[in-house]
Amino acid sequence: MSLCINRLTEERKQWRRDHPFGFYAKPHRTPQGVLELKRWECGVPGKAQTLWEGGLFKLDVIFPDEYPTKPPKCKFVPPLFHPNVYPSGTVCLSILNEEEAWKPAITIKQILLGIQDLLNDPNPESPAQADAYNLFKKDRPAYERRVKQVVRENPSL
Amino acid sequence: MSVDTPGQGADAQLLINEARVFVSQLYDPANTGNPAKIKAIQEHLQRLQKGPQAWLIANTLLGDESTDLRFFGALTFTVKINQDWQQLSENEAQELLRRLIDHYVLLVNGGERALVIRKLATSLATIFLKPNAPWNHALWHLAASLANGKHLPEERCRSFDLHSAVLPAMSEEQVMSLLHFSTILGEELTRWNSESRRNGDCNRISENTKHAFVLVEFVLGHMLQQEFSGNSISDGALGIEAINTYQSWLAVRSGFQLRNAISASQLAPATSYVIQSLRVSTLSQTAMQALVELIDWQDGIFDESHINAVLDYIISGFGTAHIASLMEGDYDDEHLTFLELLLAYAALKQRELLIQPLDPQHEKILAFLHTLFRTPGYAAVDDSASPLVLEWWTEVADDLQEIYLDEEEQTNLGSAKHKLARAAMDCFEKLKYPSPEELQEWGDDDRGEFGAFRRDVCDFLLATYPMLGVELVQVFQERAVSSLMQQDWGTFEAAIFCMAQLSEAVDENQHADECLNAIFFCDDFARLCGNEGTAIPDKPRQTLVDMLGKYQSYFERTHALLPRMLTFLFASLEVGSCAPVASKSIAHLCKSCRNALTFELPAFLDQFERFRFKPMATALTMEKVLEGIAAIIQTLPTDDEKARFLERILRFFREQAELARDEAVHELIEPARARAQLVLGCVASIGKGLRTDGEIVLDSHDGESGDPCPPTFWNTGDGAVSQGLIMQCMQLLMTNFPIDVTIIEAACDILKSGFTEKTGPYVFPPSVAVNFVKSIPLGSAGTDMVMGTASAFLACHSAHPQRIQEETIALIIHVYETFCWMHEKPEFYDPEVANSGIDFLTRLLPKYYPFLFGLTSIPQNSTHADRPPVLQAILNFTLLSLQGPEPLPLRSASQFWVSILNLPYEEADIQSALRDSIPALCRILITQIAGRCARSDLEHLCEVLRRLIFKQQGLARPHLTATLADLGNDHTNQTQSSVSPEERQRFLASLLAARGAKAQTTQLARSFWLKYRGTGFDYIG
Repeated sequence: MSLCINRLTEERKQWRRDHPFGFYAKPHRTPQGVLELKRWECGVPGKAQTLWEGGLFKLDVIFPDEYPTKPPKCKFVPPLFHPNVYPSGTVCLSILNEEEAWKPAITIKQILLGIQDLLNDPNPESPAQADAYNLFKKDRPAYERRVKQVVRENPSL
Repeated sequence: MSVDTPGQGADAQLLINEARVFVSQLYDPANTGNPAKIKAIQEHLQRLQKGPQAWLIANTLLGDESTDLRFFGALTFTVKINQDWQQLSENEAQELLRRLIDHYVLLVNGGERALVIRKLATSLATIFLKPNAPWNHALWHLAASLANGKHLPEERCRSFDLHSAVLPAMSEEQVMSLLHFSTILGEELTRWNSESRRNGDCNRISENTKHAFVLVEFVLGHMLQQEFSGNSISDGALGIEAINTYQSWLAVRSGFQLRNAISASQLAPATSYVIQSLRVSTLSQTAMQALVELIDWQDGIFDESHINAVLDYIISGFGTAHIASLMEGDYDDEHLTFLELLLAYAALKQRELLIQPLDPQHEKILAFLHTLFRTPGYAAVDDSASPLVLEWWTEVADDLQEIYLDEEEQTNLGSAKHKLARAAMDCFEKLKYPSPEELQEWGDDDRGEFGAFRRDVCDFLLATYPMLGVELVQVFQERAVSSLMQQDWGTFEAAIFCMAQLSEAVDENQHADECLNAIFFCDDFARLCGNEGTAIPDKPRQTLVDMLGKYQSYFERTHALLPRMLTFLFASLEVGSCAPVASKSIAHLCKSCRNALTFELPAFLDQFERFRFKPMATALTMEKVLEGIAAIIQTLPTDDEKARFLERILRFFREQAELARDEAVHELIEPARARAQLVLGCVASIGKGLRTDGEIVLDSHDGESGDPCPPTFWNTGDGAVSQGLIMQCMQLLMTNFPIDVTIIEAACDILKSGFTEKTGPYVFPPSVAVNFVKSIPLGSAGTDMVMGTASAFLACHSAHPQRIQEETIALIIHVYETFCWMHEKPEFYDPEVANSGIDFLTRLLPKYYPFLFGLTSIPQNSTHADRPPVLQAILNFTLLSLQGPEPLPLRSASQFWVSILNLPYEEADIQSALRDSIPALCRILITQIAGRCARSDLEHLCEVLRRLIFKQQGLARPHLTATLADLGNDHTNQTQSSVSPEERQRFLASLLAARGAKAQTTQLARSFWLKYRGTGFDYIG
């Protein structure tokens, strides 16, 4: 088994044993029922007592062959209204950037928790989409209304 | 080491007293609520622990009467050893070890608490790990010293055999303290960084590993002998610690590659004892936990007799008792640990269990695995067992798939399939949703956990599908039909839920169409859809609505069902939990099957008109439903018919728009906005639905000139009423109205829905788009979308730019005016306006650039004669944005300049503009890349730089050279740096040599930037 698959198998075991409440993460299963270990379907809940509470946001995590040397790509499906999410849905976060803070020791659990933190704590230094970024900077009440709408459209239950 | 250094006694005594005072304050309950004070105390103590007198302080405090102080003394030894080991001479190191062992023996014999003993054991283990530690047989040495009553030189220990002489001579407390040390040393070794190891360490570690297992054998052997001779053990502490030691040293054996030096057969007695400990009540749980981990680990420790012994235990009376407790709903830890052991064993034997003929013992194991789905309570809420069992079955299904795909190994898969099918049926009962009353008692956590379990069941079902095929769907279909007949809604909901999850496997390929027909064509389902005496509760309705949404392909090919299905979906709109999904399914099915639904239109419209006054009629649901209805309207054969239905719908929204205006007049701003959002959102989605099926008309190459808006049924004929209603809604809600970003967005969508059409109620004269863009006040949130709409407008006319020359110029001048305004009044600078304006210009460049480059004077009728000409002002503004602090305008300006550099340079207007701008462009790029810009801006600026070098090297070179030479002089605002002129020249030479290649240019720029920023730049910070 390759290093990548080995690590993903171990990540899967660890996740089953211990995962944060309200999250889910599992390898994608094709319509033929076959598991694709390098593509996970995950759900990140909005943190309690934040604007994002009550929402569950679906995320595809795609692992390159070089994982864990290289980081996975995390992509909200459908793309999420958020200053640090590209229009394609890809998340812009330092720990997911090979040239920034990615380390092979970072687990899937840490990634998903990092993304959950990012939801309510956007980084205005690295905007990824104009829509959410402009509203966040310019009209906070409108930004918050829009987030609440996004939460209503992605309910956790 | 200055434990006994004379002359320092007085100082040391002061420090010792100080430590006493601080330690007592640290543990004083009065200080627990004062984290600042605790922090200050800890910092002070840490200074003492690292200070020159720390050896003395540690040594003295270990002999103190207070446990807290003795603990602190032991801790201080660990800290000090880690800090000052290198400073100790060989003799001092020997002396330190001697003293610590003496302390250890003394404290153990004095009945010291485990807390202090463990801490001191850590100090001893720390010594063992240090370079040139004067210690080889640590366990043997400590054991012999304990038995001796005080420190014994290590070389003398060898005359006493550990197993036969030393260990039997020790008291129970001494053995316990040796086990503590042994476990801790094993753990520390496992954590040991491989870089700090040296030659010879492996030998030392191997010897100690052997002794650790001798210790385990000795302790467990004695305990088991006692237990099995009828004297049951009341206190299992020694045995538990022995099992911990066993685990700890197995990890050492593996981590240090000692599997050859210490073979599995050498470990066999200790392993057997651990397995036998399963049957000792006080040791059972610890033994189970250890074995679960070891079985999972698969390190080749177990021989066949070990595995059989585990099996014997699982199916023995002990195991059956655990199972019985679980079946009674007792989910205590010990029973769940047993379940883990069962599952670990079953995972080891999973293929045999599923494929091979089973002996009675394994029959029993398999029976457990089926039965355990019948434990009481809701899975993951009350019942902790089912989720674990389900996980095992899912892994089995995944594993069997691999065999199944390998055709040669298909023999015996029949029985495996049968077992999987049975498991699918077993967990079916666990899927049933609680009643509303029960659900009320649940918190969010419970709902979430139960939901996650149901998702895991889906995963299992999908994993079995490749082997079980349509028969699996059929089972659930039969349950759905029979439960529908009996109105057993719990079973119906669960069956429909399973079918919904299997849709992924069967919706597209028609494999299960017969099963689906059996449900949806049955009379009971027709009655349910027609609401004829069958009142379905909300939860099963919601699951059914979800399920219908997942079988869209099936319904698309089964048109006969559409009317009843959609009637059911429309009725479901009135149930809050169903409305969002029902409206989405309505939109999807009406759009994809629009041609089959034309005759249903009047009925659907009636249903919509009833729905629109209900509380569930939110913007979200209304928009979806209207999109669907509009899609059916689009299929009507004549424009007259289309107009008739549209007017009926649009009149309602026009009235609502009037109402919103009244509300606004009466200062009811929020209700007015909400209503306006609903009106414009719905009008926009009607436009979306009306778009012709599948074909997007962007270009029509029918000549350069011509009317961009010829007369049609919709702008001059009878359809003009509909178009008028749409425009009135826009006017009422966009002029003198408290607009917000959502309203602007909807208005943009309304305009955009006509852009891709040739004719229709949403195809407006071009002036409408231009006036709309100009009407949005500068600085409104949503400017981005407005300019995006302007770009879309240009894109849809890109085949014949001349036709909309006037409108294009009007839009460019609008952007020019906003730029001038922001430049003249920096307090009104708005990055969104800057970014969206630049972005608009970038997008128009490929097709419309001649219009922009022709604007070389101030606009006619301009009231600002002092402003620069249009083109010049725009180019200057984009250059300023390249060096501004805002990231988005910087990125769009980069894109803009990349596009400008891509334009045909041979054209005179472009040539002259570029000659004027390149000096400034070069200066900005170089100063930015020389550490001034943010790191994330680099890649964008590099794009411009490489395009500049590739396309205009001749023009750019002198300016790049000059700016680089000038870096660091005051007027460039660059920070002083140590980057030498030669390095800067080398940078330019490499850049030019790269000729705009992406990877090289980016890498060069990044290194150059880092030189200015300093390599200590922290990415995360």
